[in-house]
Amino acid sequence: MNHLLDALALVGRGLISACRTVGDVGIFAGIGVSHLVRPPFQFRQFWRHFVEIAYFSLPVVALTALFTGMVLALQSFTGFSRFNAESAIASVVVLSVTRELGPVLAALMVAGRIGAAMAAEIGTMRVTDQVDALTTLSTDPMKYLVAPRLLAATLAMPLLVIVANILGVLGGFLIGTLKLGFVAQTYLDNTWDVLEVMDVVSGLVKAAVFGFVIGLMGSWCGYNSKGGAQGVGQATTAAVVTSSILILALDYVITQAFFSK
Amino acid sequence: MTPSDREAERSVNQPDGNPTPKIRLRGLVKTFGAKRVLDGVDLDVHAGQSLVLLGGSGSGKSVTIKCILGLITPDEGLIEVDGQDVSRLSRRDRTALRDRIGMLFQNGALFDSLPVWENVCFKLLAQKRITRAGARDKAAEVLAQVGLAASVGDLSPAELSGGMQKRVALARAVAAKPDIIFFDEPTTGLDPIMGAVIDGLIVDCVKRLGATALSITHDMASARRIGDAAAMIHKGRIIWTGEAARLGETGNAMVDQFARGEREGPIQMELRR
Repeated sequence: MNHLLDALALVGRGLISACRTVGDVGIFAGIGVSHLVRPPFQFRQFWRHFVEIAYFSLPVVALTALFTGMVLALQSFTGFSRFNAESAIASVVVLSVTRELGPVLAALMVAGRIGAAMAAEIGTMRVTDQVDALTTLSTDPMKYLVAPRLLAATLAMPLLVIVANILGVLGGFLIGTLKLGFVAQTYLDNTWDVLEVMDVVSGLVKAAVFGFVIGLMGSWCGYNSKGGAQGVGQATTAAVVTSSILILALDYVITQAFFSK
Repeated sequence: MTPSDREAERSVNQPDGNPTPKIRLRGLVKTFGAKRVLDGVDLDVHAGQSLVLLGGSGSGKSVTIKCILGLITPDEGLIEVDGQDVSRLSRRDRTALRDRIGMLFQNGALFDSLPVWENVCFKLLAQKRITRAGARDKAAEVLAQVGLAASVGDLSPAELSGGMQKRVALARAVAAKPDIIFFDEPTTGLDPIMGAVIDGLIVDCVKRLGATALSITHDMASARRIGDAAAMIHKGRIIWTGEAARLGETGNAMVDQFARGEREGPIQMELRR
């Protein structure tokens, strides 16, 4: 009986801790967002992070999208040829990329690259007293460190996903026309015919939400890091892992919201 | 405490004749988990005074300063600056108070992502008291006061030696001309000569600004150089206050042991227990 109670207590403590963490993250996000609408605004910090995310993440996102589109076309051909449905490849590629693979893969890549960097930078600032120094220098750390990152990640991700969508479709087009023998015009017609505005819009909404999540978790994990280099390392890992899991979970939620009707 | 100690304390605690201290702490308590780091700290720092707070590692020196700065909220106790209870200040007034305070952190805490000139003028830029164009000239002026060339302003903090980083951090702490300055272990990690240089710069800056200074240090030579008064904190309580020049000859066994750096004495015996 006692073992059962101990086990229940352990589960209970875990649940309470999880609820507390969710609450902490929610409050942190609320404070961060509130600083976006209250002056003074940190344009210089915003621009620095926007360039870092939108511009310097381009190569990794572009390559990921390009190869994903290429692989998708090849795999689709392998499967669809068994049902004589090869003509659906262009449709599958464009819908998969715009609705799903573009936003999710770009977000996972950015979470690994930017989320980790945010957590490491803010975490290092935390353990070396730089965050406290900001406060003593008449600057709110949430306004200076967190709000610009949240905004930059939220705005940069849709731009990256537009690029990812174009290159993903291009990857499928290249394989379709150069390797699988599709006529270029036919492939493009099949692509355009099936694509709807909502497919792209839903992908961009996902991208913005994923960007916010990456900025939030990168900032939160870094801001709450403790214990020197080891703490910063743990914060970096936590930022990437939690961002990635939240991206996949929210992907389902947003997909359900857009396509359930 | 003997009557002569009390007289000495009175004289160092009211050098300006003003009975209202610039900084007044009463019954400050702060607990982290099971550890009571501050256990009723009472301390006065008068206007224009340079007080050095001494104590072993983990005795609560840094926590005391962080409580005054509002970086840590104490569990109990009173913190007054210029007679105003800091805990009752509005957000705006608390920000205004911080605007008047400078802080030199133990490791400098310079912002890696910014060049030196932007670090030095960070507060002035944040308060929009200066343009970015003007900030470069201002940084050069303040850097000169701490013995650094204007060209240092264009470097990144990572390109500086430890002593230069401390000097830049000092320049940042005094650039906005604060009337209260905190120094957290200003000479830690520096060689004795550089430590003496930093101490000299601190004394110059505090005098030039007419500021009130509260420093924490383990370094006795530094304490005597920068402080005109000293206090010792042990186990979260102030156990002695007096003239910094008397350190080592205070008559308080704990303070004298600490000041002389002696292995045997009441503090070590307690550590062994």
